[in-house]
Amino acid sequence: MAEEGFVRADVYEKLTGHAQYADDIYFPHMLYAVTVHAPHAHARILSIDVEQAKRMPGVAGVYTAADIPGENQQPADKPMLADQVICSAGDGVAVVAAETLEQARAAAKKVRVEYQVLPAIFDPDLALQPDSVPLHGDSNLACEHIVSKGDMEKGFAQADVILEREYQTQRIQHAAIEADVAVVVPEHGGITVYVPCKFPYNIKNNLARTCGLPQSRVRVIQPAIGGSFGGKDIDIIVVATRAAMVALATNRPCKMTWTREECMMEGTKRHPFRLRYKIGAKRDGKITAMQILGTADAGAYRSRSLATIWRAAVEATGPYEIENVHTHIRAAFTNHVYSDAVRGFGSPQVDFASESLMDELAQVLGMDPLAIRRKNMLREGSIAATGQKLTQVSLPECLDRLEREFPLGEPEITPEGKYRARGIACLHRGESYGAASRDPDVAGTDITVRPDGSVNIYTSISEVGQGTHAVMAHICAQLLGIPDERVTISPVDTAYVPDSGATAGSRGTISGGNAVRLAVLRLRERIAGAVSAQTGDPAEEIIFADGCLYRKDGTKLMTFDEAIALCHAHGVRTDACGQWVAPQTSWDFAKGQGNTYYAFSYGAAGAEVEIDPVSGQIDVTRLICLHDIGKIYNYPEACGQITGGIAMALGYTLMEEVEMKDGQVKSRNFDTYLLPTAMDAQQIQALPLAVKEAENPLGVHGVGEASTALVAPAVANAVARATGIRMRSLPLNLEKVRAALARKGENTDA
Amino acid sequence: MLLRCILNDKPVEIEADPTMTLLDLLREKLHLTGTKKSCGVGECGACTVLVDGEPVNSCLYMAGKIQGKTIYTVEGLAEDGRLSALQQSFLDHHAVQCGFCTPGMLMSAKALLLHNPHPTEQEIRRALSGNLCRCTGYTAIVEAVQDAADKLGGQADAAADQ
Repeated sequence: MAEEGFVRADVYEKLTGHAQYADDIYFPHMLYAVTVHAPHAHARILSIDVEQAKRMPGVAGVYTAADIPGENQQPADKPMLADQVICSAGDGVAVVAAETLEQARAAAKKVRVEYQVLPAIFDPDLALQPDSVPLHGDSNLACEHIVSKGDMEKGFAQADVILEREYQTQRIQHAAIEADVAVVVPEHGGITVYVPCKFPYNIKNNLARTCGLPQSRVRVIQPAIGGSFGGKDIDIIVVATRAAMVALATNRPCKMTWTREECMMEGTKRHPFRLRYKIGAKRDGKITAMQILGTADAGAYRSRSLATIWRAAVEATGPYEIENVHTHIRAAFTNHVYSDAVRGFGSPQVDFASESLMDELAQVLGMDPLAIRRKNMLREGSIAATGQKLTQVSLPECLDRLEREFPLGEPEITPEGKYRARGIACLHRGESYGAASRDPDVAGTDITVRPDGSVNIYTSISEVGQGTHAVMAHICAQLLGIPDERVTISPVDTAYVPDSGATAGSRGTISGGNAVRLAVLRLRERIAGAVSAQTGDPAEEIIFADGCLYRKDGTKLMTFDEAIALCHAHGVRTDACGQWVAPQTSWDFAKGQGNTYYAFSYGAAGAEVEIDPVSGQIDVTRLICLHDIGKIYNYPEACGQITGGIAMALGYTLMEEVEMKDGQVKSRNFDTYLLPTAMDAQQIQALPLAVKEAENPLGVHGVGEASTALVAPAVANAVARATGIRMRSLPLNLEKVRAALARKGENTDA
Repeated sequence: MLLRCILNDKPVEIEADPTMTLLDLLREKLHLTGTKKSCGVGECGACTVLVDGEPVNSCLYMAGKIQGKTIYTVEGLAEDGRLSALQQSFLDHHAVQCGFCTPGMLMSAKALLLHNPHPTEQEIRRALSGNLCRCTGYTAIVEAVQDAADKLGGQADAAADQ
């Protein structure tokens, strides 16, 4: 294992300030566009008066939904600009473009919109009542998913104990430090779009639709990307469409950069969940049945609710083999800002609930938290709640390792007046898109070797900071037997790169890497074929290593550069494409059974907390997360990914919440929406493990998301063990901890 | 108003509205886009630059105040195209992911090391606590600064001994 790791090509420019992010791009005669946002959560637009705004200095144009060149809205999805009805506060109603940003902002204040305020609905359970007024179509049901296995009645009848518990998770923001931004240039009868994004072809296809252009007239170029975390997709489509309509109407380049307040107000969020669990178990800890009913707040529009809710339903039992399961999770439309994919999709929500529940059950049964998990955990060949037979299951190894690294029973010295204890959690997590996805799980990659022997990879997997491009280059170099620095990754530009799908579901390295492997195998066949034709050596026996081509017996044929020169001299192509097609998955929506994800990853976490009862402050004094990632290519970068996921999860656990009041986002910047700082995220230990290779040719698991799902339950379990108080609602902030301790005090007094 | 300052070791004269922010002056007028804008209210630290050796949030700092002062931005760190010891340490420790907070982190770290060549881990964390990073979880950044301090501090001590 190369624990040293290797350096990423993108880092040098990022360190010197020369990396160009979208907001750093300027064009001559570029216009600046700003959005006019609606103030109401639910309202009918009666009129929009743009005349005064149009007369303001420097204004090039003011645009409304009527000016959208293509399709403004797909059913139940967010309109690029609200047309008749506002469904959430912050929705865009108009775009103002001017010579300078200041002029655009001044003019935006002069757009007069008359609204008829409508009754709004904010509670997802109420929204699903039959008498609620639907926001879209004939019901507020955005989507629902069922997982069903066995016989619930029988399962609960077998139980010695039955627990019913309710858990809640909150709305959070991706909070990439780079704000959502787009620069659009009208050219070649279409548009060139400079945007940070995680799925360039999705941006391209959607912009073609919203701009009424053929796909061939939309070119998407990715500059450096300042973080994604599951965002930079739907929000970017909205921002880019608004900039594009200006660019097309004026025939001038146009930039729209959201302020942090706009990102918070109009940008997508993580779905808040309410989850009601009922669990039955034998006295020895064996779970006999689990029923899960959940409601998620989709907010005003659908976006990626389907994938998020489905993942939550698939993973809702936690990593346990249970004979009788019924899960039903629904997402409701409300007049809140809409929810979407956020790093981890639906995993962090259900894992908080299921892993808290396991500790609650252990406590009722007087069992050790580790023992109850081992009693029920998924093992090689286990049948999941979905009926899927699981292979390459490494949860037992993960728990063994956690026990060694982080013994729960270790004696704890508790500072006077404080509480201190340890808690654990574990998970299984589906990888890549999964069976419910509407997008095919495929990734294309092209590789070209130039006459000078330099190698270029063309992929649309996005480098959002996770280091996936460097891993792809490394895989390519290893298979060609040449140094990493000979391989470069082409800038991501849809004019050149094939569609590699979304950089989502932790699939970047799995799909992108395996596509690279397939392309290199073809490329080697071509090169070896050309060499074979000259030397008479069997092509299939030629070995690529150390910058040379060798015979099977180890004797050198020629250098790699000589082989490439030979190919060029004889007109043999030195390029190849690789098309990774993910293994088949399937899902029976009616039965709630199927082969959900082609692979699952496993992990475990331990948290040690110290609680100050006076302030309610939870100090996480130690946090360890270990994840089996199959095969590790770049160890320090894998550690960095996991550490970052842990820090994001720590924010989810302790402090982050997009506070809403009457449909208004109250946390509008980093002064009220608190992210973990270097003082908060301490004592974090990330432990990438290579226990079992994943079932793909490279053996890799995803790294990006799993770490976001383990921290909250581990911390909540530690808090419960320290104080005897079970907190079932995230975040575990000062106010909630203080209130819970006060209630405990009252109960004890009584 | 004509503003004069020393920017990244070079004298600069520029006609600008003194009430604009230093961040806008750098990005829009001087085309130094390495300094980043993220929150606009002095909470995230992405726009951190050094003014007379002190770290400031350039999004809250009026351009008019730079008159006669010495400014450093991220573009001024590398010398002759070579990464500074601090930058190299960020590279060696894999302390850069998306890179958007990196310029501000580097400037806050540089300010710390100017004033305190031998910081403890807690001093580093406190010095960087005004710089938000969503990617790294800070561990690699803190290690990078610590390591740079050890190397730079060691050099300074060696120089002082001679």
